[in-house]
Amino acid sequence: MKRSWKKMTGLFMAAALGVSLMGFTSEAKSTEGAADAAESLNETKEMVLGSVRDMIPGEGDAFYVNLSAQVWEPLVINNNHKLEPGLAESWETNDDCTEWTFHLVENASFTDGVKFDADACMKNIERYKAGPLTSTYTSLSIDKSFPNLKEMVKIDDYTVKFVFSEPITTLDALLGDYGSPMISPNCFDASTGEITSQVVGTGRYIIDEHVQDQYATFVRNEDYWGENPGKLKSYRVNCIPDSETRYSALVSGEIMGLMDNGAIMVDAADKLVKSDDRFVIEPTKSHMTHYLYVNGSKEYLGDVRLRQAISYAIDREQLNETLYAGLCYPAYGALSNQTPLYKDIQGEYNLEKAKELADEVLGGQRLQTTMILGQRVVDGYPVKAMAEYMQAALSEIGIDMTIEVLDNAVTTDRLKAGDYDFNITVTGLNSADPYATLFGWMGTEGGSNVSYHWNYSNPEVDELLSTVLNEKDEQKRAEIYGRLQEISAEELPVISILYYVNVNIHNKEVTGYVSDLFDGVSIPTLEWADESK
Amino acid sequence: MLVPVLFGISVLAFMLGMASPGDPVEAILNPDGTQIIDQKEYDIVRERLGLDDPVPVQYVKWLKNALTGELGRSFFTNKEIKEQMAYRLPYTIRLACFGMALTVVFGLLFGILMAMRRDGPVDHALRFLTTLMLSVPGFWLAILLILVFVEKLHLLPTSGLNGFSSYIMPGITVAISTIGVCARLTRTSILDELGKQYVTVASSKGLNARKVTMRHAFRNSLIPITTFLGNYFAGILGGSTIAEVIFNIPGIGNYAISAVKSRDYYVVQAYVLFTALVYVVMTLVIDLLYLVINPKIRAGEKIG
Repeated sequence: MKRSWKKMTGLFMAAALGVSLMGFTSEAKSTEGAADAAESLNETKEMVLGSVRDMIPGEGDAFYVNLSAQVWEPLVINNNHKLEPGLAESWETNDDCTEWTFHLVENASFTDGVKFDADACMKNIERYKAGPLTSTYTSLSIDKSFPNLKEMVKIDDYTVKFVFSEPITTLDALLGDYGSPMISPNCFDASTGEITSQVVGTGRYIIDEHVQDQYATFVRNEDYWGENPGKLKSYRVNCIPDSETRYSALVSGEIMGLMDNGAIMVDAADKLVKSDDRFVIEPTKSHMTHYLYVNGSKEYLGDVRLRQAISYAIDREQLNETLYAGLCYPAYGALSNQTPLYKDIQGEYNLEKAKELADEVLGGQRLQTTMILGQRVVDGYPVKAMAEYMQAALSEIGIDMTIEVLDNAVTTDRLKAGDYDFNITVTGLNSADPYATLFGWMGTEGGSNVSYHWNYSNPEVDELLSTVLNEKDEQKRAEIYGRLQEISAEELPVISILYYVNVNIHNKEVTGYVSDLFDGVSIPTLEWADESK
Repeated sequence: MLVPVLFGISVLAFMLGMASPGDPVEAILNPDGTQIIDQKEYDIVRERLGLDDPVPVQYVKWLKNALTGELGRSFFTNKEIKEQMAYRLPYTIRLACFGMALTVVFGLLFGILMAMRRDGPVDHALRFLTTLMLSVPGFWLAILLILVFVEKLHLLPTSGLNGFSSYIMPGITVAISTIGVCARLTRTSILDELGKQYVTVASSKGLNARKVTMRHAFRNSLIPITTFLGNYFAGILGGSTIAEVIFNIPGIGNYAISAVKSRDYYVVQAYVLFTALVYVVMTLVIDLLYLVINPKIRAGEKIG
C-alpha cells in the first residue's frame, strides 16, 4: 500500500471537522422585529425571559402549556388567595351544596374561532373523566376538580349546572386555576383526555412557536374577550434548566428576567442586585412555605411539648435575615399565607421557654436525631444552611442532629418508612381549598400524617374537619379553618418556618414584573420600561 | 455475542430501574415535590402503569415491546420514548461529532508534535498543556467558558440552539480532557513505535525522521488510538450529560438525567439499552477499522 499517510491524516482530520459541521443548520431566529421608530417597543421588540422548565410540556401533558403563559384560562381564578371569576362570571349553589350553577362569560371565543359556551365547557369537563391526566405541573381529574359529580346539565348556552351525589362546599376553590382548564374542543379527544394538537385557548396570548426544551414564543391575542389584554405584542421564554447558566443568561442580557420555582436563590438575587444596578428585585408572596417535618412516632418527638420547644428554639426572623435577605415572612400556622381562609397567627422565638419545655420532656438527657434533606429542595432553596442553623439552635435545648442530604426518591422512601427524625421541605398549594392540606396534615387518617409517621391525633381536629366538609356557611367555614390553624400552631403536627417569596429578579429595562400565584410571571402586566429607547 | 450481551443488558437495565429507590407514581403525581397525593389517584396511576404486575411479568411485557421498537411512554412527560430518542439523537450526534473532531484534530496534532519534538521545549509545553487539559473538570470548564465568552465578552449564547455557535462551548467542554488523553496516548504510541527495529532499519536506509514518524510509526500507533477514540465517541454518543445539561442541548444525556431525577424507569431502561447498543456497534466498527489500519490482522497476525 503506497498511500501517503500524511495526506490521509490530513484528509481524516478535515473529514472529522467536516462531519462535525454537517447538520449545523442555522437555527438562529431573529428575536427582534424590524424597528419602526413610530411604534412602541412593546409592539416591536420581543421580550425574552428565562425559565427552569419548558413553558410548553406539550402533548402528553394534561395542560399542554403553563397557565402563566396566558394561553388557556380556567373557570375560576385564584388571585392571591381570593377566588375571582375567570371564564365563569358568577356561580351559586343550592342550600345543601349538591348543585352548583355556573354562569359563563358570553363574549369569549377560543382563538381558533370556536365559541366558548356551555357545550365547550362541558366537553372540557368530560375530558377530566379520563383522568387522572398527568402533567409536570399537577394532575387533572374529575375526582379532584368535581368530586362525586353525578351529572352536568346545560341550562342554557351560557349556564351549566353540576349535580353532586355528596354535598361539596368549596367547589369554586377546587376549580381555581389548574382545577378547570378550558381549551378548544378541537384540541383534544374527550374519551381519552389526550390533547391531540397544539392547544388553543381563550387567553391573552397564542402559542406562536415552540422548540421542545428550548424556547416558546407567544403572540398577543388581538381579539381577547376580557379586560387587560397583554401589553407586549410577543414574548419568548427560554428554557434554561441549569441554575448557573440561568444566572449568566440574566447577567449577559440574553434574558430580561427569571421565572418559575427556584429560578434563582434569594441570596444570589440579592447579591446581584447589590452589585449590579441593572437589576432589581420585586418580591411578591409565594404559595410555597418551608416546613419542618417531625417524626412523631419517634420517642420524645411525639410529645407536643418537645415540638413546641423546637418551634420556640428556631429564630425565624434571623433565618429570614440571614438566608433570605429579610424578604420572606416567619410562619407559625399550618397553611400557606396564600391560601383562601388563611389566618395570620404570630408566634415567638423564646429560647428560655424552649429549654424549659425540652427539659420537661428529655429530663436533661441529650436526644440524638437525624435531619434528612431531599436534593431537589436543597438545589432550589438554602435549606441546608437552614438545617445547619437548626442543628446549632436545637443543640441548645438538648437535641443533637446529624444532617443527611439524600436523593429525592431516597428521602421519600425514608419519610414513608419513618426512618428520620426531621425533614425540611418546601411545599405549595394543592388547590385553593384548604381542606386537603389540613386533613392531610392534621386528620388522624390524613395522608401525610400517616405516611410520614407524624402520629398526630386530636379528636377535636377530626370533628372540625368532618364538620367543615359539610358546612355551607362561608363565615362558619372560615371560623372552623381558623380554629384548625390555631390548633396547628399550638400542637404543631408540622412546624411552619417561613413563607417564601418569589424574588422576581429582572433587568430594569422591564417593568410590571410581578409573579402570579404559581411562581410564573404575570405576563399581562409585563412591558418594556422605557418606551423611548 | 450481540444477542446474549443485549439480553443481559436488558435484564440488568430493567432490574436496575426496579431496584432503584423511589416511587414513579409519586414522581408523576407530585412532580415538583410540593403536593399532597390523593390515594385514589395514586392507585389508578399505579394500575395504569402496570406496576401492580409481578416484576417478571413487567419485564416480559417491556421486552416484548422493546423488541418491536416500542419503548413505551415516559412516566413523567407521557411522551413516546421512541419519538423523544429520535428527536434528541441528532443533537447528541452533532455534539459528539464536534467533540470528536476537536479531539482528533488537536489530540493527534499535539501527540505527533510531542513525539517529533521529544524532550524539547515544544514537548514540554504541550505536555504541561495536555496535563492541564485532562485535569480540568468539565462542569468547571463549562462555567468558566460561560463567564468569559458570555458574561464578559458577549460573544456566544449561554445555552440553547442558535446554530453552530451554540455548539462551541459544549464541544470544548466534552473534548478538552479527551484531547489531553489522546495527545498523550498518541505521543506514547508513536514513541513506542519509534523504538522498534523497523524504524531503525528505515532510518538506516536514509529516510528522514519526519517521514519515518508519519509514514511508519504514526500508522502503526493508530491501533490503540483508534480504540480510545472509538470508546470515547461511543461515550459521548450516549450523551455528554454535563455539557448537555449546562448548555441545555436537548440531547440523549439531558433526557437521561431528567429521567433519572424523576424515576422515569422506562426512559432510563431505554437509555441503558441504547447506550449498550451504541457500545456494541462501536466495538464492531473499531474491529473493522483495525482491518483497514493494519491489514496484517486480516492475515491472522498478532497486533503490535
